[in-house]
Amino acid sequence: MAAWLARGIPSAGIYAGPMAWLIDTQFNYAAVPWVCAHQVPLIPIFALAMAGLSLFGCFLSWRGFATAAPTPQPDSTGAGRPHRFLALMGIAIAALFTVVILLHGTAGLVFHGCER
Amino acid sequence: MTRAITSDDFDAVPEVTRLATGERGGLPGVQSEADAPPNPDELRDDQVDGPELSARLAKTWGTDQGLIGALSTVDHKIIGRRYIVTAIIFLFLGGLSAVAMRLQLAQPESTLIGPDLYNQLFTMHGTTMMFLFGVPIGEAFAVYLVPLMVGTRNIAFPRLNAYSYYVYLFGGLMIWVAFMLNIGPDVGWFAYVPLSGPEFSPGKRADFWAQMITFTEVAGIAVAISVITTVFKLRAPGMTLDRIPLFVWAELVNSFVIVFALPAVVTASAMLILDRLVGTHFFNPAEGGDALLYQHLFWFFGHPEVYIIFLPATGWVSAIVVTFARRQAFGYIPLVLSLIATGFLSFGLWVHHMFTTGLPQLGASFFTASSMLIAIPNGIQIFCWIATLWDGRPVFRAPLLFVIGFFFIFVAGGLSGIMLASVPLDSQVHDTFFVVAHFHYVLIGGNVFPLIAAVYYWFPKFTGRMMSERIGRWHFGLAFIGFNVAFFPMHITGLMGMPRRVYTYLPEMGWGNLNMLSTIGAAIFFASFVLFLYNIVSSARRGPLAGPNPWDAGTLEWAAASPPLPQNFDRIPVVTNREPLWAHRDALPVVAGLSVDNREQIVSTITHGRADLKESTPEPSIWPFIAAVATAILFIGSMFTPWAIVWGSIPLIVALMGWFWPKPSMEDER
Repeated sequence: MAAWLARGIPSAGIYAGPMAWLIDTQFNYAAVPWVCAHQVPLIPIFALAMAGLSLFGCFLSWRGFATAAPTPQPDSTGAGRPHRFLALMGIAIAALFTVVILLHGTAGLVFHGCER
Repeated sequence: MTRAITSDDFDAVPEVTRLATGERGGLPGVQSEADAPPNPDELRDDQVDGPELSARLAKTWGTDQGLIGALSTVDHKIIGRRYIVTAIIFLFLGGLSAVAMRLQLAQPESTLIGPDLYNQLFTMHGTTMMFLFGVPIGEAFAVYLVPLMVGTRNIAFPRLNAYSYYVYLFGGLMIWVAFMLNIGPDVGWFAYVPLSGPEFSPGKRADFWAQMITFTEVAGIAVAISVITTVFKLRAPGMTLDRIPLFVWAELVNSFVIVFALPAVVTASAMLILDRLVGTHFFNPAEGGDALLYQHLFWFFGHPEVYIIFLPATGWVSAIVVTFARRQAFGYIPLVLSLIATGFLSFGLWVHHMFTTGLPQLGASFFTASSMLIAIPNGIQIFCWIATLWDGRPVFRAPLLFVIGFFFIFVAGGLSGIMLASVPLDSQVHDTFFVVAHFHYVLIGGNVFPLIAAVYYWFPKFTGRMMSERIGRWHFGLAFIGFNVAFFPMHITGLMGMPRRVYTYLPEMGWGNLNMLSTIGAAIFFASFVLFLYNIVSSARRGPLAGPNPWDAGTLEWAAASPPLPQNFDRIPVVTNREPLWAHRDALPVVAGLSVDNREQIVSTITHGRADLKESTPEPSIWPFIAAVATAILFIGSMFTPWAIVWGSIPLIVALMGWFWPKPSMEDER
């Protein structure tokens, strides 16, 4: 675990961001009747937790990028370093899905769950 | 003192140097099979050269003459060409049904087409365009081009690929023969229950729809698996993940979406068939079933389907923009990011097709959010393409004209899509012509215009001849004007309240003039396709010879002959750049040492694209065709009796046994 945190996992954000969003979407959609019945703001709370999961993937990808070996040198198009490429993908995808998850959470602040 | 071995050690001897000098790579003491010394008794491609090497490889990788040879082929180019031609024929059939509908709607109270035929026409139009054209056309281009673009000699699982084509063909023929016999489906392309259930659709019409789904989805998933494996494991040495062409990335993401989306609609159609033929009640609320479950299952497939249609088009556009801008893609990483993000997000939007089913507003709002945010990756793509053109030296040939048409039309469709993501607006215009206008802007703009561009662009590779540029420009003009005249007025007819799927309307409604305008536009659009067909046929016969790389493009398919020889490349290229042909204008570095007399391919590692193994790929076989015939008998028979599943399984099992029967490969025999 400590090694993961230190050296990162370049592709972590590619999996963690969409996975957190998938869980968030499914949970939120299923929880609407319960939220209506109990009037507990579960949606934003759960969204914050899932945004945290997504950001954790983003962090691991960033560590993967920061600790990537300086070799091999990139070619004239900037390619040839697939670990760095995967890490950049991971950072960006996790960031995008964090925004989507937080937007889902915002919906829970606007609606009570009983509106039809 | 010891030192941990890291992945950097692999690069201690750069791969290109190693391949050129014969020096061994890999970890000390752990050699890959690709580094094994060659068998001295076997002819290798470093022992012959020039025309003799080409001729020998063509014999090894070629397809036999005659009908059995044609049906046994596993050459991805032959299967891909058949896929492309078949899908375009279905595009024309779907287009003809649309023209018939437009003629009917041109005037109020028209009696040209009756309600029953009209119901069949709009069902056949939607079903054909979505399942027999939209999904297969993207895969068809992948089957032909992906192996060439990644620098290999055949697609992975080539027999599965051949099987998928025949299954697709039989499914398409089945539903169109049913339509010709006046038993075509009449329940819309999504065949909602209870309309398509046993109570409201007796007879066989809805069964043909449901079983056609099974055919096309089996075929679609089979191709997707072949494409994913090809991209991950058969790339040329040196093609790291960040050197994969954008077209290949698009097809890879598309294949993953297909693998995860299509099972949902197969489940829905199988449950519908069970309700109709076996007497189950999955979708019958009176017996504890749930009609809304059908919509959830269908749209869990149905929304990703939009992206299954759009994603390959992004690959075509990326390839064309880069070639005609004369510079590498601006924002390769954001473009790949957009593809992956779009692929994931496409699975979280399906409920926006169900906003009027009485769902809680909080539940609907999650899908509104995702529907609006998917505009971000799509917007990034558009900006990157425009920036590529802006910073390049664009050459405005026919393929690029259609891509520019795509920008305008697709962005307009995307804007009305953002409007429809809003629940209040969607509730007002649901099932009106506004929605028809929106999705035709998205689908024709997002797929058909890029497809036409792709045909103009790769036609020289497919046939060895150039298409007429002059006719291409006329074609673009007619298509762009015709499309907009046909579909833009539909936004207004929709806002005026005209519903979809009505075979006529009263003059007092005031929709007559706009409908007439749409029909005139449809006629112009239809004329553009006639011109397109003429250009294809005449250019294939008399077009000027193209040569291997007529556009001076940078990706590997243009290193092969036009049309490519059966082996694709005489020697497998080594990739050192995203645009290999621009980086090595004089001579492409190649790998030597593969067998000349056996179907041998390089299997490479996923991330770095290092040569890892030499693997034999299957020989031609008639069994995939026989298995597809047995599959068709089983599927069609099961519409008439459930016992067909039992009896139909026997020939299918026999065919599969023949297909998979262990056979020594040619290499092992020697």
